[in-house]
Amino acid sequence: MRLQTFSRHNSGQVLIAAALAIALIICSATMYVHEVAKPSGNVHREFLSEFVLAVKHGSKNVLVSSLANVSVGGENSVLRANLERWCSLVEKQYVFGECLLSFSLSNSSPYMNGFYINWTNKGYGISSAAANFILNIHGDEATAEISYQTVVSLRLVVNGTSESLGPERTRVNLTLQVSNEAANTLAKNITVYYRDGATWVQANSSNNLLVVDYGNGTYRISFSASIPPENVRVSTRVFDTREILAVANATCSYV
Amino acid sequence: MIRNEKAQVRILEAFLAVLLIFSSFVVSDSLFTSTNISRNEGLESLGMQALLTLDSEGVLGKMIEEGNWTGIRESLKAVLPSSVAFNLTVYDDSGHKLNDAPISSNVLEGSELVCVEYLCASRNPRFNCYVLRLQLAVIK
Repeated sequence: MRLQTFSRHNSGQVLIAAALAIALIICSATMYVHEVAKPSGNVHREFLSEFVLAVKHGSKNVLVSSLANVSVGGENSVLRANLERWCSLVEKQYVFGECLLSFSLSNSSPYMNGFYINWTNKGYGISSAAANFILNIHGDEATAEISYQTVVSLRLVVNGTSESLGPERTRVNLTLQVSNEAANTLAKNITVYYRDGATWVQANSSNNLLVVDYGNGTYRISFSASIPPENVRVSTRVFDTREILAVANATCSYV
Repeated sequence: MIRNEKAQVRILEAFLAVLLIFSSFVVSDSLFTSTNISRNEGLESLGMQALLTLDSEGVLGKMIEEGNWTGIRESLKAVLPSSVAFNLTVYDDSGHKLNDAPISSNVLEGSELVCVEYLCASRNPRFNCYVLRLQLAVIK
């Protein structure tokens, strides 16, 4: 009877206590769901890594642009000028904090002032550019120092044979391999020359020029010319899809 | 008279109990608001990924140099989810706006916007670099 009286007298307080308990349960359950669903800074880190990736990608494009320029006769100084312009643009960004991008042109052998261009007479040719970068991000949201090296290149390997088709008539068969810094690549434009006396002559349709593209960076080139079949010298000039030029000269073996 | 007072106290207590539960919902709602901020960071990431995809083979820089704004808009439409509206503005490295035509999908007004800045270096032998400002919003 006494218990009943107590319960009746305090039922309101019990109601409030129960409501408080329910409210606490709702809040803690919501907080738990929120904590579980929260990406826990991964999204932030993901965005930072994408920003770094974009800067790296841009740096590579600067090298591609500069090498394309220099390979067709541009000044070597263009690489430094372009990189300074790029670094200045990056430094204007304030994504996670202050961004500082510095670079040094590769001078380790065989590179000189960021370039290695070697177009040989021995069946191979290379056009390459390389630079080292340090990206510093310093701010409240993120602090990072990322060092990376960027290399861009176009390599050619050419070899071939020559055969006699009759008096002063020669057939030339060449195999050309085109690759970039990562893998075999496709050529955008291939021009073939052969040596006739003291001059280089471009092989064209009048020479029955045939270029077979195997789709994997390998090209089979054949043409005929009114030259002696011995010691036929050829020159291949290749632009890749990035407009970088490389040249490779070779002497065909007579078969 | 005493009974009436007791009834009033009960009503007050019941009111307090309801208020407590209601306030718990208000607190929960504020927690979900902060979750939305994380979603916006995801949207920034999505925008950056889209621009990186378009720039992977130097295509983005080429389209800018050709003034192919329609091409950029259609490419962005292809790489972004249909539920995301965008508006892209292209500036040169001196800060001059380059696109004379809008590069946007749906109307962004009234939606919660996020802004992504992407630096694009062209592969052209005559070097140029650009700043792309991409505004994004989830269509409701």
